[in-house]
Amino acid sequence: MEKLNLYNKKVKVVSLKSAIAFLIIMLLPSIGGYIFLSHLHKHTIGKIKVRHAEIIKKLRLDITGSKDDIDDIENLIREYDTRFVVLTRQRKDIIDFLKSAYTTKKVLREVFKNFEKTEDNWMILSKMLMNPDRMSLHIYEIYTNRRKSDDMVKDLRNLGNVKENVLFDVFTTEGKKMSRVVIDFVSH
Amino acid sequence: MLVIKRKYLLLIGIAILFTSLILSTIPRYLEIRKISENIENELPKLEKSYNRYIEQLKAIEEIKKILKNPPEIEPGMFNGVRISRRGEEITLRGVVNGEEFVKMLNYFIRNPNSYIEYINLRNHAENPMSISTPVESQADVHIKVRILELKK
Repeated sequence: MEKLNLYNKKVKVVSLKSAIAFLIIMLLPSIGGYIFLSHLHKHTIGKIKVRHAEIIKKLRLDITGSKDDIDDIENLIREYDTRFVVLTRQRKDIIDFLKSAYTTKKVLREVFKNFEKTEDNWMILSKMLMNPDRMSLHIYEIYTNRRKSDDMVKDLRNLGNVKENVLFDVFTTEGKKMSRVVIDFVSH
Repeated sequence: MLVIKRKYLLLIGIAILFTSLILSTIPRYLEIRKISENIENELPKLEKSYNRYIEQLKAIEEIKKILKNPPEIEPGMFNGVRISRRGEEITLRGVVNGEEFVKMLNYFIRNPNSYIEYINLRNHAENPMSISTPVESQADVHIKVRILELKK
């Protein structure tokens, strides 16, 4: 027999089981939305990986799309910036060293190539004081025709400012002359 | 039997639907957007930092090709000269003749990792030094040599 409720002020109700099922169904759209967003996230990260494939491959980055990725990338930027600064300083030090080495070696070569005893010239180094940018030479010279120290002064003028001071220049025996020269040199 | 009014159930259902939708999607969407944008912005910066580091590294490697090991020093390698080393500075002091003086100069001039930055030479008055008559002559010398040691 059919059960009938003929009461005219009856309240429409549903069973608890049906109510729970209904509520679970109500949650499904948000679960779907969440899943959709996860796919969207993966898709976006995939596009980023394609756009920056070169650097990701070079540094073997593992981009998963989490917050940690940003920290990792920022740490790497800091690391490479620090390494760059260290290398820049090292490069500058090497270049400064090579510049100084080049200048001083060139000056010393120009000076000492002239100290060779011949029949006509004999230079004797009496005093020498050399700093990185200046040099002072005291030379005695015994010569016949022309002073070799003048050639040295000429050569040094290509490398810096030179002041030549002939303290004396006198005749000695056998038709030779003797002089004492002070050369002050300041590099460019 | 436990029952619930259909009207209330509908209201609760709608509330759950909207609340869960808002709570699960909007913050997630914002987070995804923020992370993607940050990664997108940071990667070019990383590439720039990496590239300039590599460029600098290559430049230094090129320079290092012309350099060698710094000069080796040992006591007694130059007659009458005391040698000491402090960091990247070598000091040579002593009484030398012209031959030894030229030998010292050449030793440090020829090595690309060293240069002479200071020379103080004073001849002995009674026996002046001449490069050209090396053996008989003598002078007090104080030389400072700067060396370059490459860090690996």
